[in-house]
Amino acid sequence: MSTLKIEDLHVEVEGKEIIKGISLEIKSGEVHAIMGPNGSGKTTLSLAIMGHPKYKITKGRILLDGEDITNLETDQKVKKGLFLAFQNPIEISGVKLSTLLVAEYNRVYGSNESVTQVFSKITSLSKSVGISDSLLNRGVFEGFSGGEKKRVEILQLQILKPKFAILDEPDSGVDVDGLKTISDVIKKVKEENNTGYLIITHYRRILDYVNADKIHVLYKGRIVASGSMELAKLIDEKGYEGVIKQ
Amino acid sequence: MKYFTLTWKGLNAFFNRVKDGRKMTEEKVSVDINEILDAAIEAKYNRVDQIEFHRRVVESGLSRSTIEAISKAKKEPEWMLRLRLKSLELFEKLPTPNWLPDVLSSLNVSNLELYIKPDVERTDNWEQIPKEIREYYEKLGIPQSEQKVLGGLVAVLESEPIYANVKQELQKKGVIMMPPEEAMVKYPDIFKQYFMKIFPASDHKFAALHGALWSGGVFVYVPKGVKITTPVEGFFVIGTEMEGQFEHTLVIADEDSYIHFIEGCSAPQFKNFSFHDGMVELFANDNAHIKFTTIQNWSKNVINFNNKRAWANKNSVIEWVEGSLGSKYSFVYPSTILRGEGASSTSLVVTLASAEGDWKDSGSKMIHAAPHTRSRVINKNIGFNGGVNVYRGLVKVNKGAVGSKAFVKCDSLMLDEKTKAYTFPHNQVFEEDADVAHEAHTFRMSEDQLFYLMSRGISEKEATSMLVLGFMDEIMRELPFEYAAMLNKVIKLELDKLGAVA
Amino acid sequence: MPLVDIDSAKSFLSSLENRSEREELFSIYERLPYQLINDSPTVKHYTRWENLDKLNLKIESLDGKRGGNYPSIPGYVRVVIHNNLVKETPLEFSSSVGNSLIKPEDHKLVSLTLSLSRKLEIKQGGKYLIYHYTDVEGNFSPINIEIKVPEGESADVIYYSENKGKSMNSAVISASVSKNSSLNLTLVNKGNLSYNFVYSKARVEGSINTYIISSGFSEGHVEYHSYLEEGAQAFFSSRALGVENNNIDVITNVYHDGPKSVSNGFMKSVSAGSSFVVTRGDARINEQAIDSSTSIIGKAIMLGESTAVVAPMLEVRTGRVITAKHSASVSKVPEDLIFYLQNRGFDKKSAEGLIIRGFMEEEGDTEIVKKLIDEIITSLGY
Repeated sequence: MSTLKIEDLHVEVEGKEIIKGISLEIKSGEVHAIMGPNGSGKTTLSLAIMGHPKYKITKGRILLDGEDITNLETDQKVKKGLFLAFQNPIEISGVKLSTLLVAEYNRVYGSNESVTQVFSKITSLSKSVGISDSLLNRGVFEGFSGGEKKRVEILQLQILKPKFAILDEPDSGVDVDGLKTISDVIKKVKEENNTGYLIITHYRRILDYVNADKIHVLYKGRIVASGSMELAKLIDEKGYEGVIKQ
Repeated sequence: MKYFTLTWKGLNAFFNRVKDGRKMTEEKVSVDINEILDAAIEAKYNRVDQIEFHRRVVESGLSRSTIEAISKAKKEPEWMLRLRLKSLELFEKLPTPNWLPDVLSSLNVSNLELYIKPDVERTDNWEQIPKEIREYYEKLGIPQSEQKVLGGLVAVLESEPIYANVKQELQKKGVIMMPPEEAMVKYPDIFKQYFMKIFPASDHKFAALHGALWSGGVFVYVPKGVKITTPVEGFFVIGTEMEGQFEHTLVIADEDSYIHFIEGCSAPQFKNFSFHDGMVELFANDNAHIKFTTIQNWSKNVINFNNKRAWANKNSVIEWVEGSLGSKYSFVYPSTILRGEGASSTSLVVTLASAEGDWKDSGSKMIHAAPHTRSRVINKNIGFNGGVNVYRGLVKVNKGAVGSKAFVKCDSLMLDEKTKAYTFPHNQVFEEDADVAHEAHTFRMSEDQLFYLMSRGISEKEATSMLVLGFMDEIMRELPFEYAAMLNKVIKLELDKLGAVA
Repeated sequence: MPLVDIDSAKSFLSSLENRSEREELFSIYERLPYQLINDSPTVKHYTRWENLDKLNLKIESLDGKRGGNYPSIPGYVRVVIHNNLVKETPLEFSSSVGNSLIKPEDHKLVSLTLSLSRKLEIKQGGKYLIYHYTDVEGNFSPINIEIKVPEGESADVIYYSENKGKSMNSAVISASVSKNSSLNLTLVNKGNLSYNFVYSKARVEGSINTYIISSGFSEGHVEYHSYLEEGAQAFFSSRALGVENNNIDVITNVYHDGPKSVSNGFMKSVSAGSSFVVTRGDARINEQAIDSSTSIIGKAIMLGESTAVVAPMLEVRTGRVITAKHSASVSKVPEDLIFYLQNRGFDKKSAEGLIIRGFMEEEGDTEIVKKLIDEIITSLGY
């Protein structure tokens, strides 16, 4: 059983404070959701937790199983068990998707298996998420549709098996089938690995599929409401305004 | 009331020779430019050594005593004489630039005549304008009254209420605009601070020649916070005979000010080639904005060197807009040193090489010497009838100029088989955190586009000029309406000379 | 001090045939300057010739030991030159001096190389690997290669030059590709704080694919000039990788002399550490080369305190051109990209390595080129 604790986090971007004191606690196997109008700081929060150089943590801490990981290098955080699925990942032309996935796989499982074995595992995993062979051969995200990008992110969640995963709008730009596939992977990884989630989304549907435990509403850099799925239903009916006013 | 804001400086020079009934006492100094150019070209190939070069320069009439005589007659302060003499020294020492084409030595270039008489009278006799020029203006569809304005008949203008209003506005705001000779005496400190500091004589051989022989031009100072909304023309200033040849323009925009300065140039037909080696120096202080437009339509026997450079301080903006339509040989490289954080500069140049042997050499130098600076160069060349367009540009990003972005686009439109286009860019990036991009495209008129327009009932000539103007659109958009309209007409007239579009 | 020790050069020269011709070439080397015109408006020389003049190298044939076997490729005929000794050659070395396409006056170091080298001739189709290896400190190793692909045949020639420390490999390579024939010409120059000079010319009537790679040199200078006759097709890609204090200059020029000729090229460079990497090339379409087209793309990425210069030149001397374009860009590796890869568990250096590999590799690369690029990138610490 692991715990990810965010303690009174304050984040500044280009001199401006965006996150004004957020505290959260996620345990293994729990699914938390963050909702809120655009510009409230959801993506900022996710990037700051992972250590993006442009986002400065001015106050507060991030604790993983009691260890203060606030100032570790990004890749070190990942090695300790954190994961972020990006909302809009940048193209990496020249680097084949299969190359990237094989490298990630080898890091998690060691390189005991032969290249062909790893490759066939990657190919079948990819297929199960709806990523074709041709996509595997292309540059990472080069000319990928929004939905394809989300599938690649979720595939990497499956390969890397983190302790805690932050998913930034895994459902945006995805059709009904894609949403089901993505939700299935989220559930599968939770069952097999007891992964804890922080899902950023605007829509209730994915939260229904993955059985979210707790919903938080982020507004202007602060959590203004927390609750169960009831809260999500309320937002669905009345919009954010209905919730924030209170 | 709309007034035609274009004027023609060289024409003005011509007038200054025709007096209004008054006699002018002349002190004339004559320099054999032909000889100087020949010697410079031979020096390029190391066929003359320095001693020989010096001898030929002196023989051509350009000696220390000549310079001293010029300076004395102009009543210049000691420091200016020293600057001229030092420039002469540099002219003899510096190597001939690679880009000086050998063909210049085969031309018959007329002498540089310097009339050293500061109080030259102006004229208001329209009839004195050469017939060809009058006809040209008529073709451009400019009514007579405006043609007078065009004629640079400053005497006429000075009495025009329109012009007087503009002058008044400037005076009220404390803007200083006068010939450099006057400014040198009236505002020595600020003059000395920038004159040939932005573009030093040591930069290249012909900058040095300019330093030695400069005469006339304009000095402009815009005080802090003053924003001049209407474009300001160079015809305000009256200089001596042939001032169009070695004129010097120095514009200083103090903090937070704005000025759009327009230079329009034309020259009447001379028998031989005339050689022009002018200089423009701009200084934009913190948060200032200078836009400098030159539409040059010299006649075909002009060799035009123009040395243009700007210093851009913190958060300032320098815009160069250059239209090199006339002259046979033109070498213009507007450049900006982005020396203050956040400074930016754009350079829009259009060149037209429309006759056999035309050589239009242009380019921009953007030096990023401070963080977060931006530059954008758009160079459009149109060539036909065997003309040659050359682009020589440099983008240099110094170490420490973090967050800088530079973009260069150089397009050449070739309208027939005989024309040529060369692109020689250099991108030197010494700073990792910088973004520099460059594109060059040389192409022919699109047959498909031409056919489409013609299938809508537009004549081939009209369609061609539409497409050519479309090609130049990015630059047209930057010009004040009257200039754009004028440019429009000039291009159409030039395209008339185009043979059958292949 | 000159580039080569005169006594050593003269003594080496006298051990070869055609002594007087060679001495003539050597005297041409002695009197020529390195460069006549400035490389750019601000810089006189991109390659710092004065650094070469300090080397005072000797030309010696020494037996050296090389850890492991010489590289080989199945199906390729192999020639090995190790410290000026021909260790292996199924081909003939001609006794004649000079190169049919390249004149001694073309470059100071061309005349030097021609005076001191024997000529390797490739006169028919097939696959060839020429491994030029120098590992003795203070040694200068020249080579002169002439490739002639007869009509209807195709050839694949790989010139693989490798040297380390204070040593220099200098190559003069020419290629003639007849009508209806094709040539894959790969010039790989792998350095390790060493020195390198390559001057090559190709006259093409058929089609040619040229791959040029240069990395790791304290001073590395590669010049490639291709002349395209009527209907010729040329593709070239040059890749330069600089690390530490490297100074690498790669010039790829293509001249369209005949109508309907087509050229397509890539110039890529990575400048890491505090290196200075220059990739430049001139694409020229001459008056007679009507209906030709050329397209060159130059890209440079920078990591660290390095310098990158990209100068693609375009000269179009006729209006009857199909298309003539080039583009160049210099940028650093985007922060977001490194961040994304770190988010996938790569540390900074590994992330950079992944990006450099992705940047340097290309679709059309042959297996051997892929392998060599990978080896080079690994050997440079990524």
